[in-house]
Amino acid sequence: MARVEGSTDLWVDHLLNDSKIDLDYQSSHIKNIDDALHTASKKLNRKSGYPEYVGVVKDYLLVIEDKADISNHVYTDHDVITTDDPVIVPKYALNGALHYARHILERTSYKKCFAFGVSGNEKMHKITPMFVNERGDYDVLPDVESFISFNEKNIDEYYLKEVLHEDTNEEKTTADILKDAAQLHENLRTYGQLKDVDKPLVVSGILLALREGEARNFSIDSLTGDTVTTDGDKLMDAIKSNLRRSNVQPQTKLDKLLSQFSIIKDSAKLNTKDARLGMTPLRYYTEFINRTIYQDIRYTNSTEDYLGRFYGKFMSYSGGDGQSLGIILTPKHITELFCDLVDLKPTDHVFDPTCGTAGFLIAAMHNMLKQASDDQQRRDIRRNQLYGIELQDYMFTIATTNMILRGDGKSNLKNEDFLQQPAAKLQTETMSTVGMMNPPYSQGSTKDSSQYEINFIKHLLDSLLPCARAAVIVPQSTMVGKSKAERQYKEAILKDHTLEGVITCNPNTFYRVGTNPVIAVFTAHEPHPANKEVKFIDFRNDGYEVSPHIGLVATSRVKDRKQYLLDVWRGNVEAPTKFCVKSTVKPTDEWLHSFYYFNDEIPTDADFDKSISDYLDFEFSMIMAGREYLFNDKAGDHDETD
Amino acid sequence: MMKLTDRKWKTFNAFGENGLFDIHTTSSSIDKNKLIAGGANVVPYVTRSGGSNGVSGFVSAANYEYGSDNGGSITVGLDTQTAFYQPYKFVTGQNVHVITGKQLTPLVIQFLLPLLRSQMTAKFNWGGNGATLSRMERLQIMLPVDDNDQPDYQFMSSYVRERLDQKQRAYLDYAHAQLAKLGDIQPVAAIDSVDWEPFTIGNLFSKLVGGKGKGLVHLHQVSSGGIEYLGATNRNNGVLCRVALDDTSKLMVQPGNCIGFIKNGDGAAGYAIYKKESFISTTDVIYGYADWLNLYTGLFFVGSQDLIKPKYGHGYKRNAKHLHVDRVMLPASSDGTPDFDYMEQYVKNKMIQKYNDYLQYINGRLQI
Repeated sequence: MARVEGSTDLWVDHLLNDSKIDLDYQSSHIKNIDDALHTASKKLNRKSGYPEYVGVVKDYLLVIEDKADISNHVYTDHDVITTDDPVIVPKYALNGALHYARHILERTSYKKCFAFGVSGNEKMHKITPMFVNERGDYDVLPDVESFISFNEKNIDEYYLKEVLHEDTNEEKTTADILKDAAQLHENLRTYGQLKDVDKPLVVSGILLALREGEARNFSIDSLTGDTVTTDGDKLMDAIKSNLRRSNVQPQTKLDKLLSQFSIIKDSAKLNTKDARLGMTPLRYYTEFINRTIYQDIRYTNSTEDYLGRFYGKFMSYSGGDGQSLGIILTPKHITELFCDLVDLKPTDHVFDPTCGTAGFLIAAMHNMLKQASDDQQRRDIRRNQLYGIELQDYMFTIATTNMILRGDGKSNLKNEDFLQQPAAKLQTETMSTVGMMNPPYSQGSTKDSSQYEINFIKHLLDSLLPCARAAVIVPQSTMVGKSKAERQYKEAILKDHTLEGVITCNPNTFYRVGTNPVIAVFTAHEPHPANKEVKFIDFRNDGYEVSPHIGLVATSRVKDRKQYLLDVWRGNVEAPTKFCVKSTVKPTDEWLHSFYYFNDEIPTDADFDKSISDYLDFEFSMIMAGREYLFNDKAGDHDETD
Repeated sequence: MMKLTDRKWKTFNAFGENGLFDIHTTSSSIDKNKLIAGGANVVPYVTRSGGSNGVSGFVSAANYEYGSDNGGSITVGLDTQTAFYQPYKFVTGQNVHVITGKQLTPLVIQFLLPLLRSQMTAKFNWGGNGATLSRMERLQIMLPVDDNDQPDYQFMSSYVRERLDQKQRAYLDYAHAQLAKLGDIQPVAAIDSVDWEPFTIGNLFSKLVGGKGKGLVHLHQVSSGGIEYLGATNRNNGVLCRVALDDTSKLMVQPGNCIGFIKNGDGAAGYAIYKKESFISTTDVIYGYADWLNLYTGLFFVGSQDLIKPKYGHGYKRNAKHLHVDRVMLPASSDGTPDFDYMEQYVKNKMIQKYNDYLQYINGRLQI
């Protein structure tokens, strides 16, 4: 009986190892902590007592107390965690942890402590961190799934975000990019009077010209506002040279791109000196872009799709947003997650048939480059292993710019209608082993059922090589299959391809767009086995939150949540059905976690407490409003009231 | 106290062929703009929105011609995943389902509500995946069972009964204590037989200060503890939510025992609240302090000052300047000052009456 926590201890031990945290079990090799624990018994009798795990990471004290049974997680009295009752403290995880934390802090020089109450087992559990300061004040923090946020690498960031509530570096970068974008947007509007679709094109063009500057074939100083050879002409020349330098072929593609950029030289407004600026708007933009983003794109190996971000920011100001065309750009954390979900290898060929500003391709490229072993492989990845198709020509132009800036030698992007391309042709052309896609949303109708997202999925799967992996992000309605046509597509998909799993995403993933997205993962050209256990995961709580004025921002929980998702996805850990349900599927099912899930937890007293209180609250307010007649019936009487 | 773990729990189909209960679409389904007016508004109009037990308002009995549902049932909101016990006959808006069943006594219903809600909110959400009838028919729930593995309705009833009683007793104790404090009803002159005079707000209050909050962005919302965060609403005594007290927020705290004059927002502009506790507030409210203020005079003042509401709306905003010269009718003493004693006793009498009304109602209930 004494050690029923044994199996819990073991599991916590695994968690600590996975997170690379080294703590002492029921002891401490650090003398002053050990001394403090000599009088720390949870029975409050001044005898010695040890928490399950104790130790130090950087200058933080870590204390873990675990219990086998979830019902022994915490005991509170008026929302305060009890630590002064010798019967309560030994019985509850969080109470015990807080007791030890205070005891040690009081007797040592440590000032910051994370104390954890852990209860349950691998499958059903609660891990609650608490921050305790040297005065013994505590803050209960949101539950976590692992200790990954508390290792050497992450603990400072976690402390900054969750305890001090300050922005950490990463968040500032995103905010900075958006600030630059807002500033640039303002400038483009004030001095250039540009249409919304033209704004990202001007930015793209200038970025290409700046790249040409590296070959000493263009310089910002040459933009003098001359009226014969205008600044636009000079920029266009630089763009043209740079596209040639990047070996953009064939000629038709080159012409297409150049015609898209023609606004740069055609707009009189852009090419005339502005009295307020003392230069042409074009030069002003060029200086601004060089200063703010060009350096970042070229020299930091970020997977951030800057141009995509800019595009999104520009569009957020106008009603004429690409949304009517179903265009929604994919955030970086999703493009990165895709690489992990399909287990991307440096030898893969990646295909995105609706590539937008090339967010997936950029993420895939960076992911593969990081894994690559030599220069030859890195060259191959850039030149031969990334394929994209984009229908909208201005998007295509932005995507091409994006890929050129990232050093994609040949830029295998095409300005075509994906659905019009025969699957067999795409299969042999791209030889793709991985598909990634964020298709246009809500374009399908009973009249044109080919535009349904589910048909895009089918066509993508058909276009990949056998055994290729594909991940797509689509509205959850796609997995429901409301119309007859959609149901037929679903049936056709299972006949030829295998559904691996569906992940329900944070409803705010596409902030400002009212879409509840899901990620579906498939294996191409392997008929779906009837007895296959497909994974359905509820990943709505992914650690991202909407921050007013900024949009979606990462909290410190993001790493923890993603790690947990991948562990469950790869089958490394068992998850409660609340998070992951495994089930066989039929074409007629709704391929969603919510369809297969059933909450098998036994409710708590608190659940009933809340619901009964709400009802009494209502009853009370009705009585006060003089509506006693509503409740005049005798309890249990079902007869009509009138 | 009975414990939930005293019984074994088992999974059951909630509805459908082998289900325990019945679910059907509402019998009335009345769009708000199709509601028939006329006569006393006595019939609860239940919609799929949350709050106030799903009752969005009261409507004329003439609406029964659309059909109605009987009391002793549960209403479920499609898309919103709400579930409420309706003890009375009612009509509904669109997209409401009604759950009935012969086992559904009021106590059993109270037991089922949180179970239904947790299953529904776990599975369904707004945006194409709501609680449609066909999805509801697949719903399963966990219930405590008896020795024959059948749902133990007896246990459910007793469990809820115990909790209901406990809560109601707690409230009774509170009400009795309040009554003891308030004393007996003291006869006062009728409200229309005292002298009323207009008083200028600028003169009535020694200090008028705006809320000091800088927006929720700078604060951390908490579900319990912390301090009240007030905004431009006169519902829920002005409370929008609760926020943590930390070094930043401490500087924004304002003392209580004051009147909050609402400047902006949500149809509440022009209304006022009495606030007893200290708080943090948005800048949408101006707070008035005076030495004559207490709970009773405060509530009286609010009741009278709220008549000013029609003056404020779009185009004419309540601000410090306008507020200063606003006038409020109050009972006056012979020397021309507000008769605070009258106001205080008047409100006390009303409160005693209200507490007694409720006690009477509850005592009637508990005897059943």
